[in-house]
Amino acid sequence: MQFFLNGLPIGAIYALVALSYSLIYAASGVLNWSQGDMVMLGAYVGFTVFSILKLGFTSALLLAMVAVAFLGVLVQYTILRPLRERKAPPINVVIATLGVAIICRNLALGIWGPDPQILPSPVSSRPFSLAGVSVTPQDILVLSVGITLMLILHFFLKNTREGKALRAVAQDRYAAQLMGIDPERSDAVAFAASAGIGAAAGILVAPIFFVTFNMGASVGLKGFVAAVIGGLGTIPGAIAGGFFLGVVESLAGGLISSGYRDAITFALLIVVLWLKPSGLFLRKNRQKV
Amino acid sequence: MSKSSWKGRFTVLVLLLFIAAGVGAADAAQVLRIGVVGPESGGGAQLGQGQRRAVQMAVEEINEGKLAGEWTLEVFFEDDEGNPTKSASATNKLIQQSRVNVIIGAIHSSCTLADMVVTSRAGIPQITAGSTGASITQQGNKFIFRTAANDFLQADALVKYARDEFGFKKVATFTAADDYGQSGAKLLREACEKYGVELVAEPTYNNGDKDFKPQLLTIKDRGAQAIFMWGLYTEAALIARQAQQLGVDAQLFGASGMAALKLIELGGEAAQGLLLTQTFLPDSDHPKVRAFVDKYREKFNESPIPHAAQAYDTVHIIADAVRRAGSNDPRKLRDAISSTEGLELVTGDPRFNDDGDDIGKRLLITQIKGDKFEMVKFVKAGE
Repeated sequence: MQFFLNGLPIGAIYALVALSYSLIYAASGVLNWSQGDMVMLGAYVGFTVFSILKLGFTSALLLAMVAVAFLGVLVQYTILRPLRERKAPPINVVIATLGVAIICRNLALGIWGPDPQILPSPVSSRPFSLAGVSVTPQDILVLSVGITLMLILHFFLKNTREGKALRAVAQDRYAAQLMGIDPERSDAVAFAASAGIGAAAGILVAPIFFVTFNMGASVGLKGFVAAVIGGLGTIPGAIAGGFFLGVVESLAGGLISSGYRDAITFALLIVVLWLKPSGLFLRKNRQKV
Repeated sequence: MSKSSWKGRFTVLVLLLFIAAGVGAADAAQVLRIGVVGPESGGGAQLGQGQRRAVQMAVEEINEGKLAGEWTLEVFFEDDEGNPTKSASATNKLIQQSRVNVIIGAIHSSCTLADMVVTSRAGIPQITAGSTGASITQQGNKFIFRTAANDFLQADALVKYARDEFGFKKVATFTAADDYGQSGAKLLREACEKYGVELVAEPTYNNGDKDFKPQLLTIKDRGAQAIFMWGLYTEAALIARQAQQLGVDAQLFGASGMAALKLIELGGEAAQGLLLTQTFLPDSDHPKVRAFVDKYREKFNESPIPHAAQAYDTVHIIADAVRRAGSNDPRKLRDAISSTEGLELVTGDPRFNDDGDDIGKRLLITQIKGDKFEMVKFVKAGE
């Protein structure tokens, strides 16, 4: 039970990162490999706002989300759009986003240095006992902020004009265009939302894992795996995949072997893909044209 | 014969002896050549720099103060970049070209192991002031000595301290799944057996891991009263934090590999009270340490690292050995080094056991209090 619960906060983080991959993939059909580094930059911006500008946690969270969202739009505007206009094959666009990831990592190394930094948590990390399992306020914060963001995203996609446009583009880019929707604009919205969600994940994870210039690589990879397990491009799939991965990791590490935790996790990914090639939550008939 | 004439003859004799001694020293100009191998570039550069500076300082001091009797020390440095292949060829170069009589080095255990093959074949004594890997002195090699506190001594001292001072009966280890961590895990297991302490869990982690909660929960469930960590500071800090988050109330212990100020910063409140072994603490008030640190700071404008203190002591051990041996013949030097005793140096009073490990090391048990490591106890290693 304790192992199961420990998997939830980290699962929420994975879910947020998985969402950010899926959102961009659904809208533009591109895998953005720099998502993990948006998480890292979010954590660093949060660290800077919190520890150097001495603003509160909430403002750190909001400022980091806004700043990184702008960066997301910048990536869309300078990388995705020009490459698409020049008819670059999708794989080349993916490689370009990998380039963005490496640039981000080196910039962070240059600005903040190689040593890990701490972003102090706004709440206590002292545990209290709840029905026989120990829980920390930090865990609850991660879960509640994570779920709130997911709800906001849901509301945004269902009830706003931009959100509906984005879903239309995700369903059929060409048809959406015929209906007067600007797909490039929707791409930009997807990049901004994804980067912002990634930044939030970075700030939530920072008090637990420290802030390092290469933290994006592992969080990004795990988030991507979560997205694939759930079915890349689906929103509920990303969320379920994230929590599923977090819990499985915690159980595998605690009950089987901590040294082989990652090996077990990735073995599971292969098994899932073998049984359900398009992911646990994606119906086959929803393939894009 | 009268009393006065006896006195006169005695004076003449003493004078003659003095002259003879003086002439002898001036004639021979006896030189002992020391080769130093270590990383002066690459990842371990800070350690190699510390070694180089401390050796230079000790050599100047010995030559100025004539501490090696009639011997003058001459020193040759080679950079191995922390790479075993380069280290072995650097050692070869020191022996073949610079014709050194003794080698100090290397820092990385893998380099030292590679160098030992070269030095033992050439019959040149080698003293490592930086490598802690247990296997170095377990090869049956008669030419290797170590002035670094090896992992064996540290593990032994930690477990003994946990038993004697706290009365702990059930403990756990939590070690990195690499060479360093796993050699530590093995030594801790042996120490637990030796002192009759029950080892209830021995989980490992991979370097770069962020989530240690599953392993910590296992440790908590098995009722460990202490956790011995063997790894580097980032992971140790995360372990301390997550242990606190899970309400694990075991006492944390660690070895010198994680003894960096960054551990205190990253660990925050959770790292307070963590106990670890070190060989050297720059702000100790031991007079030998004070003198060394003051001089080093004045010369190089920075605090010496433990590797520097150990390298400094190593040169003094060599100076003492050549003075006693009265020869720079490597085999005689080897024998003289192995019978070192009664020297009071910065990191202890060195004596070597049959394996070549310094068992006279002053191990320090230190504790994190506030923003620094505080001395808790001096331990004579191997006692």
